[in-house]
Amino acid sequence: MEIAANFIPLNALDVTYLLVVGFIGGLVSGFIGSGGAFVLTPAMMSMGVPGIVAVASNICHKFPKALVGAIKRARYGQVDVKLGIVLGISAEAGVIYGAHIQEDIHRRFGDAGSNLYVSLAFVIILGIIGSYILWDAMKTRDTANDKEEKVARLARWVQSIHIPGTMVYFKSLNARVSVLFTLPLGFATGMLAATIAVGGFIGVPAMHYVLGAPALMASATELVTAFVMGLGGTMKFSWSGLVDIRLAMIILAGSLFGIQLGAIGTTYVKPHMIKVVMGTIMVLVLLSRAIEADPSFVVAHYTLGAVHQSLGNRWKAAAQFRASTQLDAGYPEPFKALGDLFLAAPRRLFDQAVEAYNKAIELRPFYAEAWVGLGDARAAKGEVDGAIASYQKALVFNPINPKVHMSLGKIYYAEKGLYYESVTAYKRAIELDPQLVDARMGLGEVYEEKGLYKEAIEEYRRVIEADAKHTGAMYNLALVYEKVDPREAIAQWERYIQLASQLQSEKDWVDVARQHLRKLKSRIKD
Amino acid sequence: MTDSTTTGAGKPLTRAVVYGLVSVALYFMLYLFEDSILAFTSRGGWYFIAPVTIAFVFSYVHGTFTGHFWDILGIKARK
Repeated sequence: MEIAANFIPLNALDVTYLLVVGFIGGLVSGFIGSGGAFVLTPAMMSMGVPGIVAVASNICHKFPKALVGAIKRARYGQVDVKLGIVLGISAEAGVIYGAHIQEDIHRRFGDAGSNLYVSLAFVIILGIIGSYILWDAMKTRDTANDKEEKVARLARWVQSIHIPGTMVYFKSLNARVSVLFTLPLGFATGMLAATIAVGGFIGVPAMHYVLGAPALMASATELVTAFVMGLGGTMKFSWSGLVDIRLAMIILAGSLFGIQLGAIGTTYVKPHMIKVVMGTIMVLVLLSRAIEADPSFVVAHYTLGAVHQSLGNRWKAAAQFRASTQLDAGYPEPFKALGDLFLAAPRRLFDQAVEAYNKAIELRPFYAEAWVGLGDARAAKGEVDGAIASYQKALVFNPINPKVHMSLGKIYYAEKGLYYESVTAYKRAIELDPQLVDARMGLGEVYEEKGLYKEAIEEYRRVIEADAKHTGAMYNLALVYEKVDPREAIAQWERYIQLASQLQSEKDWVDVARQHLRKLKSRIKD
Repeated sequence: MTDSTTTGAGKPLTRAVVYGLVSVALYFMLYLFEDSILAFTSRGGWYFIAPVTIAFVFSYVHGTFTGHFWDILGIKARK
């Protein structure tokens, strides 16, 4: 049910808009090998499509588009299929690792950390590589001709290195190159794709400047890499049911017109034109990101606040967040950050937290993380129904946040007594993040209270597998075993006491455990 | 898939019309059965094959059509 809410109704204006934006994205991709995501994902989000569905639907249109473009440009002899696939496969690994890094940064540093990371990627990749490409294009403009492109010095060196057992011949390079060079390049392409949605801004320059492929062939071969990455991405997102096939196919309708035209265009231009267009687009995208991100240092205050927050300087953090809300009252991130601060404050400022989260949501109604915070704040205030409603709203905009499912599992059982709903929510949380031990603990406790001891034991054991020093799970496991297998319970209590007696925080619980152990032993003797 | 290899002037036009009509039909079906297609393709798990297959079919039919489309307008690649 929550999935259906992810898909918005479409009217004729939306469809026309998507067709036009799709055409522009296709035109760019056909010409320089990638770059459509920059216009497409924000366009969908501006129509009210949740961010993750926009990303998923964009990827689902990307691989068939790249396929058509690659076949078209292969007819012009511009594609090196082998190089594209080799890079594509290592890019797939880069995408997975890049997504993992993103999640890790978000978990540790929140939205501010993620924004900073993405902005740094923009500045470093687009700024440095984009300007270099432009500079190189201008430099070669006068000398450029249709026949030969000079192979860069770095590429000549890469081609001269011979590492036995790793050499592969690539026709676009007309040389043998070690895969030890192609693997990290593909990996970096994938990581960038996972960070700013366009891997080609590394892939194409890497093929040209590092491996030595001609610019035209590099941009055409990137389409093969994009196909491999796009297919993998589509499988991943549609496995979670996040692809809106209507959006993807409508964009595809426009982009296939564009990609054909872009591909035809490459046969008319001198090779350095590819560099001019690519470098210009990279620099323009960077500038628009900079202006969009920070017209008046609002983000600077916000980021400084986040740094203070991570250092534990709560009040300095709050001051910076407030400064950014005063500079730009339409920027939702600092309101959400203030909400987080109030929620975590020792003085239990839950009302202020609710107010801050509400303000963030008012500014950006699809702000999933703010809805999560609102749910937490309402739960802390004891507003059970309000908390549930907020969590459900958070799931509409990001259905794959395991912690929200876990919070729902907890609240359903503890506050509403809804056994079935609670188990379903906990299971979904575990499915999304098998390492989320708190969800397993919650599920184990629900099972235990319902007398499903076998299931409870299974969950506690999984927690201990994931964290061998989880004293809570060991304690609960021993308690459950008392009901089904007293001998095993004795063994579990002994294990718990051995570990927990070294911890000051467990002192009282160890005393209780010793009493249980004594009783059990005397019962077995009798 | 995209370029015409024929020399006659009529044949690319016929192909463009045929693929164009099939493409329109596909999009019309998507519009007509919007709800059920959306529900089916977003079930998750092994149903991921559904959106992937749809994407391949649309790209083949519509991709062939768009290739011929520019061809007929006289916008062709330089030899």
